[in-house]
Amino acid sequence: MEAKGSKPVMVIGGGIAGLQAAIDLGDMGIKVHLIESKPSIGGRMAQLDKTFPTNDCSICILSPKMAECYRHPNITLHTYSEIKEVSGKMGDFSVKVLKKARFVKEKECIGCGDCAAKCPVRVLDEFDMELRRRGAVYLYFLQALPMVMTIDRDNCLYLTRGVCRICEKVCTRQAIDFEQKDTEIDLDVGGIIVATGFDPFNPIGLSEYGYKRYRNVVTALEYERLICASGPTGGHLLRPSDRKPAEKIAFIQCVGSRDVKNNSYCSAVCCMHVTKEAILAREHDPKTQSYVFYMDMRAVGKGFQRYITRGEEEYRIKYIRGRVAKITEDLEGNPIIWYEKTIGPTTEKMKVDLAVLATSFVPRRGTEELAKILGVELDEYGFFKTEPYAPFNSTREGIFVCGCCREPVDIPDSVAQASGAAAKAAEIVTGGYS
Amino acid sequence: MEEEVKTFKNLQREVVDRGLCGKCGGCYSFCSAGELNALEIGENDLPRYSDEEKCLKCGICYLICPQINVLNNDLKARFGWEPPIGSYQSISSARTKDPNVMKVCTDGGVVTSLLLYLLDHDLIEGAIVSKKRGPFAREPTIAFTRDDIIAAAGSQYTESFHLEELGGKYSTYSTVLPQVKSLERKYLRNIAVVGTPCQINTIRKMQCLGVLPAHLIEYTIGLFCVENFSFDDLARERLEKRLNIDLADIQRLNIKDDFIVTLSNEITIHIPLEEIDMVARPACLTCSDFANEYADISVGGLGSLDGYTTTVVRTNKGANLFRDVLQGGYIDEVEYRNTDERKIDKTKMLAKIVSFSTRKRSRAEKRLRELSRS
Amino acid sequence: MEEARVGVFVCRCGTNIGGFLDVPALVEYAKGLPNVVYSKENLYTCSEAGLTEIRQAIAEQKLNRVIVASCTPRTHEPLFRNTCKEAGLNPYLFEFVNIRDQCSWVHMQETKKATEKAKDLIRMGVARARLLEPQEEIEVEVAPSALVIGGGIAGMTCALSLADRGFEVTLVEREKKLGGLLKDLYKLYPTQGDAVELIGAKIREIEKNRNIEVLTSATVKEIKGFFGNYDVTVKQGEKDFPFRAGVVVIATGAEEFKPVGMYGYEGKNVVTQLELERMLKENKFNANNVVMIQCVGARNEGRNYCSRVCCMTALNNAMIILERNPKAQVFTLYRDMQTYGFYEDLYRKAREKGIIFVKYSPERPPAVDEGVVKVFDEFLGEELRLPYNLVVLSTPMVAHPDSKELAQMLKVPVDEYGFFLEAHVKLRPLDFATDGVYLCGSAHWPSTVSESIAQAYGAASRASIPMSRRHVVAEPIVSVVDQEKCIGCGLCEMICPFKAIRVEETPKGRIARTITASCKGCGVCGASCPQRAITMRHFKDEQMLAEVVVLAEGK
Repeated sequence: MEAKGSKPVMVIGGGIAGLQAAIDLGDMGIKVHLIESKPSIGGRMAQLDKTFPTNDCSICILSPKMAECYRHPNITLHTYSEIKEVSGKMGDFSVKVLKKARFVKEKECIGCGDCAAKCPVRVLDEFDMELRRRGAVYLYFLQALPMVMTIDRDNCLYLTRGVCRICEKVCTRQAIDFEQKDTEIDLDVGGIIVATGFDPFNPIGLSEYGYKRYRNVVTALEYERLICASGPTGGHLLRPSDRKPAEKIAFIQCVGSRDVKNNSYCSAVCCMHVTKEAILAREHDPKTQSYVFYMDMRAVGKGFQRYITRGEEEYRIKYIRGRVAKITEDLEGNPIIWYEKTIGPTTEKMKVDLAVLATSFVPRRGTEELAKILGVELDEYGFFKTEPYAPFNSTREGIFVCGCCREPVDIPDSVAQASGAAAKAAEIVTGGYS
Repeated sequence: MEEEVKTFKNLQREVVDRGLCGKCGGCYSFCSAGELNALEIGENDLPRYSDEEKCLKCGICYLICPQINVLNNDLKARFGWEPPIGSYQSISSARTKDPNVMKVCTDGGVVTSLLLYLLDHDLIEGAIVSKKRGPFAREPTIAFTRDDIIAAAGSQYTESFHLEELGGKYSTYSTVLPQVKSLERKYLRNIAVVGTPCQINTIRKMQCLGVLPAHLIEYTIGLFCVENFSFDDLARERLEKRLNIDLADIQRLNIKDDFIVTLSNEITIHIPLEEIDMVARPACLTCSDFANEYADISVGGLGSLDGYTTTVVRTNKGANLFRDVLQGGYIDEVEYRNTDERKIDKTKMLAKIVSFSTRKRSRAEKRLRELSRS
Repeated sequence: MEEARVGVFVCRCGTNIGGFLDVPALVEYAKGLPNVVYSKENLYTCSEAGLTEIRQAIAEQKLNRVIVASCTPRTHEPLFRNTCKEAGLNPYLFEFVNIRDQCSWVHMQETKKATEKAKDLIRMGVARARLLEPQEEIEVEVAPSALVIGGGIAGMTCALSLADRGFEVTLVEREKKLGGLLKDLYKLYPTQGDAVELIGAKIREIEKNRNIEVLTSATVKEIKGFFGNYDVTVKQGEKDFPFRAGVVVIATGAEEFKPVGMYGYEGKNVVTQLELERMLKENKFNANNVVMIQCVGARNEGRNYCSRVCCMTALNNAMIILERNPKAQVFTLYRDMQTYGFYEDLYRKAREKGIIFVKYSPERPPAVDEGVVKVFDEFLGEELRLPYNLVVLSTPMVAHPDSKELAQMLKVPVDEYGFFLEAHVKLRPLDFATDGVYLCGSAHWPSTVSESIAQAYGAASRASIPMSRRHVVAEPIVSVVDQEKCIGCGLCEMICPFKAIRVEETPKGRIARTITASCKGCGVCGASCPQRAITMRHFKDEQMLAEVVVLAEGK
């Protein structure tokens, strides 16, 4: 079937799933509009340090995919953009996309960072899980694509108060443009693939864990930023309270998962990513001792069980079966883990340097609104609803779903699903769909 | 289209040239922290252009100046403010339990105790305070250890430019990194600042705008302030003649209801505030904030017995800190025999603070009227 | 060959390079190198402005070699090569010198030395560039037809997806009927849908589809040729069916491990889950006390993997049992309950329904005795004696014993358990390192029905890409065999990871020949050939040695 002359496909979300779907479609000769709400593509995978079970450096394997997408002749990237309206039907959708103004001219900006270096504003950085600050003009992360700065309109002193404009004055390429406006574009597409990913559950409501109350209780994604070389501590695992290296670490599983009061499902990947995180800690410092408090060790994928065995034998991770009842803190800021050892059974407590909460995966903020705009239903957990034996079909014909916005999955499954959704979308636009 | 942004040139004209500059150092601190480096501290410790070409006319130094009112409503909205002494949660009279602190402090050693608590519990990495150089001379410093903090204890009444300390220090915090890394901001760090109302005012204005280096400042401890003094040798001679003392003899200074001078021979002299005004800084005479209305916790000797510090707890952060410091056994509140006594005492403290605040406020209004006429 | 006219573009890369190396000095230095007629610096060579400068310089300075000294070829080589192409210069006359990742970034503290190193690198680049030869990209036609091996749910789904896109598909199934494992399943989790109905519907779709040719009771006898042009011979009974396929999809599934000799397995009172499902389907089930044992023959020394589907299967079947016979007692003896993702719901429901879970440790596995299962309950710390009339052993999915054979035929690898091994476990789960072959379903790894379907669509997408393009362009960086020197020893064929070089019978004797379409230019053959009969295009010995010589010579 000829792809030439076929309608384009829209992919919503520029994380690993969205990128894979876009690349597959582009390679098939189909034009793709990739819509990403953040200033850069890359998604959650860009925030990780390494990936299990291969222990590949995450951004190192991600950025070639990002580059491929960015340079692909058939893919048009719309970053810092949002979906406003969807009408029409399968094969013939009309989508209104809001392209937010970055106040930076994309063609002139080369991402040199002179402006960011001089921006006087300091706000919490989202990519680094609020562990450090950035300016109001910023690059979303170091390997961002497009490599173009963005001005945060809520915190820019010029846009809020009419003063400053330092960025404009130091830019050697006249790339700052405060006159830029949000623009709306209309795109006609034949199919839509939703790949908007997930958010980590915020454990602030689980007061028994002391998140935000005790400084040395962090979430897994915060831990990833701490241990990542491009993160706020340059990859040194320094605990938040006193910057001392964390040598005894507790990983607490199922925070918000398998929990009827919060999210009753299992987030599928936490047993694995926590093992990886414990391995990384030990690789950084052989004195580190990690403890994983779990209910069931779920290692169902290829090479996963081996990875756990390796974690136990080579990296001496101690897996303790038992849910953590609460975390308290001693006078030095050390978290005290209160837990039940179900094999015993005994109740015990353990003092550690750092406690890491493996938080549940939840649908991204804004999923409900997006679902309404798309005219699709969400399932009982708030993820996009699909059918088990037509796994990418949403409840509206022509709109497909893949990756973590569908259900918590790991990277290989996201990639496989993305290709699958691409196949479904291709069927529509190349006229084969019946 | 838009009005011209007001820059340091305007600050020069409206504040410095009119003698209103309190030398809080905010403008310089901001400009150097952001490595814009257009300003410097010149003679008489007044800020001035070091290189006008470098000035990017961002207008931020103007906005954060304590003498400029543009952000006053923002301050009130963000930090809360109520007449007559700003918003607060409680007023207490307290003193340190640590004998080492008691030895060196002016009143109750509460400031020192707060800082020690913060440092001990890793809530801050350092505190910007002033170190004694002489009874009338202080220098700003960053205290990183218990010893540093204790060495800085005791009151001063001359200005100390310690906000430029922050600016200067900050640029070593943001170590010169290769361009690749310069896009990152360092892992969050926290410090505490002990300052006069004008110093805390400029910090809070920076925090309203969300600009550096105020993002580093986690805790602000404000000192009650009637005025600060600044004088040259001529004025010193005049003062010595008037008071019949040798300034070098002064062991300790304090301001409560009046100016209290303790000489080396342990003799204490009380001087009415009106008389000491002659060597007060002119800028102070236009300032209306006595009780340090925007700090997390404001402290001073006024209203408490000797050896105790009046502590006004303002923000939630301040309240949590004060509670923790009490529970941690660093300080003790004064003991009352019964609730009535407590009520009366606290009312008296409040009254004193209100009276001084009102006095300072009217003095400032009067002075500003005079200045605008001339 | 005409005299080389080299242009050198030294990039500042913002301050990534410019902040550490003395770029003007590098530009000056380059000017003095032999054959360099033009040298300049850019702030960002990869920007529109920079690329325009390159194009202009090629025209105005009549450059026939271009060197960009900047960041990394990994991200930017295609860009600069294309730029040269646009300006009319053969893209393989372009040379990339990495003075960022391999110089400025790693020597940030020693900028003077780093600049000297950059000079060396540029000198080496110029020496090599002088000897570069133009190369033509190789276009390989891809037949728009696919071979799908395996007619289970994965194979059928993949075949349908490809056929619906207009490609011709030959679906080969070795059993008599299509359907794979699903034929033997009863009710599927989590929907309780009927497996036979699902598979029946799929089969009907296959039969209706005119683009799919189905060959049952058939196996793949031989696959010759290469990516885009596979010459396949399928054997059906006595007959051979030869045809051409552009791509191949492996969807051969897996099978249930039969726990012979374990836990008293005899297929009557001690059965596997699959056997249980048959009993349920055929209404031959009437047990009151059922004990299910998980992880039988899995997660142990010999087979250290979790088979992913057994916990859900067991729970699903357990609940069906309770539905049939509400008075039945079902025990599930497990090590970890692997009901991941949304399947966690199954676990909760199972508990609510009254299925009793007993956790055992691999150090003290249960013992199946006459009429009673003895198991040490880890939580109670006690041994339990569970009377049974049926024991169901949950065994892992294992690779078909002949998966290795198929793997060898297709020149793809399998892992230690016999499952086919993909190109990259994270980012290319459905591809192989060998182009043109794809993978889905339980042949890849035990998967649920839903996951098999998902992967099948995924493999269809991947497989359709070369077919959609009708041809693939291979980088001309391939090996070339000197026919005179080659003695046909076969070492190259043995070690080539992509099976891209083969020894063939020719009138002159056995001689190796490169299959350029499959060759990735890794150079292993060239490095190993004992006769030095193999050269790597674009990486000839002279070119490499020239770099070494000028480096050793110094400035």
